[in-house]
Amino acid sequence: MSLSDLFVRVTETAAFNALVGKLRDGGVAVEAWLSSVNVNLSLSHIVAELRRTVQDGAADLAEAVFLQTATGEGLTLYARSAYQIERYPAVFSEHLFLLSNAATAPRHVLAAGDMLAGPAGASAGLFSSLGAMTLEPGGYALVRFTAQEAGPAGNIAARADLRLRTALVGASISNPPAIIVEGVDDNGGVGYATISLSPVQVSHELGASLSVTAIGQLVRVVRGPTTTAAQIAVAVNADTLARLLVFAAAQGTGASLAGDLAATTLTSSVVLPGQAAEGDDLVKQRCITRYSTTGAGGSEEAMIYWARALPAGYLASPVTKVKAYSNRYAGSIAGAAGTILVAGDAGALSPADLAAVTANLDGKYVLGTLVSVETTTNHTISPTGTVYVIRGRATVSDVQAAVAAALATYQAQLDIGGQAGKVYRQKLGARIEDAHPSGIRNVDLGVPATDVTILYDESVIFDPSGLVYELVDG
Amino acid sequence: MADRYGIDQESYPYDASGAEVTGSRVLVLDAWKRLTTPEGACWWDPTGTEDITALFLAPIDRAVLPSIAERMARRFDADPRAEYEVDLAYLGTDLTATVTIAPIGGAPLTARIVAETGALEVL
Repeated sequence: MSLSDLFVRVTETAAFNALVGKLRDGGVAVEAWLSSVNVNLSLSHIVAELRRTVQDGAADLAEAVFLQTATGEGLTLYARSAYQIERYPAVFSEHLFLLSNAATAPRHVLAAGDMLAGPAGASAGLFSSLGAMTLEPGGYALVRFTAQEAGPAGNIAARADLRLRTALVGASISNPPAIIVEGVDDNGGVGYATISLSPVQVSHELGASLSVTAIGQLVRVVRGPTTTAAQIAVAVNADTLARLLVFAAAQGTGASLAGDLAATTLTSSVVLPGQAAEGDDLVKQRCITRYSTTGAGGSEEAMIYWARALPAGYLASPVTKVKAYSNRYAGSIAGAAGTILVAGDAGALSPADLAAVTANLDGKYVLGTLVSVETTTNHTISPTGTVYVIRGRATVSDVQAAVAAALATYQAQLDIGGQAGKVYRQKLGARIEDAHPSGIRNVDLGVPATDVTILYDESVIFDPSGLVYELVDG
Repeated sequence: MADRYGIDQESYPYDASGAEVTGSRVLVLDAWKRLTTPEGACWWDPTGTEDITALFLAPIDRAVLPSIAERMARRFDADPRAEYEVDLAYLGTDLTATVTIAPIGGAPLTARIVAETGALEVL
């Protein structure tokens, strides 16, 4: 037996056939084992299964001691022992959900963890509340929820149809696409105050003395220097129109003028996106590039390593894609300079994530050089066309979910700048068609009509909402 | 010497001698093993066995005994050497399975298995 034989796995069936063949060659009357409960036949199956277990264990062990072959738990252990690298764990997503209470409903006082919510009609994908909350009759509260299951499945879309799974009379829950949060003063010295509608702070533009005025779609809260947040909350809640506008703004339907409300308006209710545990290829990338960090510094691999290193205060790196360019700075050709482009599976990083990643790279490049750490620009491709679903093979909703999942996987696989600067139309169609091989008859792709050009600093984002699904008989 | 029923090893009562068994005794032992081995335990034939002793403590309505017996009989469907019938009934307080075996080219015989103990009796 050679060392390479250790990598060969065997099935129980193959081991059984080999064993019985040897018994036959040895003169054993295996043809007379006519029943599946024959004692010798049973013993042969048990021995074959033992051989499979031992051989698979040997293969697992052999694969785990080489970076090129290690996978799963073996790679986790090898990366830890040989490179002192820990696989990034899966991250639980966190969202801000807006709770509203009917005017005639009772007051609800709830502790952290008291509430469960989830998508309508689904038994999985539940979220539990992280903060305490008092929900007044006719009032609103923004509450932070965390997914009960780690990973990207907890990244629900804005305006998802949610239901409270904890019975609260008169209360309902929604997932607004935009939420006003405490911001910085970027509006000519106007201050900001916290309105304690909920454990999550909501802020509004403030002036010199306390008053609340609803002007058009603008809610202006004016306060004195000693006004407390609680007083402001009372004042806002006392003004019916102001309260409604705050609610409307939180739903993204109000406050359309820039700067009218707080400087920082989240365009998503996602506080912390859920991430899958770091994949094997990404762990290996960090292992391979780690050695480059021990040299003089500044090599491409070292930049990739530091770009994907864990930022301070993070559970997992937000970066899954890195491109390092030399002689390019802030979009222009420049000597003694470099640009590190970073992105996550969802495309461009948020400013906070980019700042955290940039801090990891500070001081990691050669003295006398300029390095610009930048995130990519999202290039959204919204395919249109008709997906023909074979009746009886799959439901439209199943196929829709499969197409969304397939495009999410394809999006994660595409590097910054696409493939050779393109997303190939034929490949996009194939990915959609293969999303549900038995259920999809064919796809008549409209847009894109040709291959899509992707710039060197762009991340590809797929939006499958423009696809139409049509049931056909085969 | 192998015959049309094959060769097996003696296994009831528990026998570590490995004594060779041929003839219709092979069919009796098969019936006993097939009805005293939990379903799925033989992964190479996951639906070929069922453990009658599991019925002992289970709350069973007498009305369902025929359907259980029919299910047990189906465990023998793949065996071309004989026809099998299974009857489940209480003999006194003992739930027993009576397996009537009609070997191809041989004389019929009857085996009885007691649910509480898994004891085999050839009638």
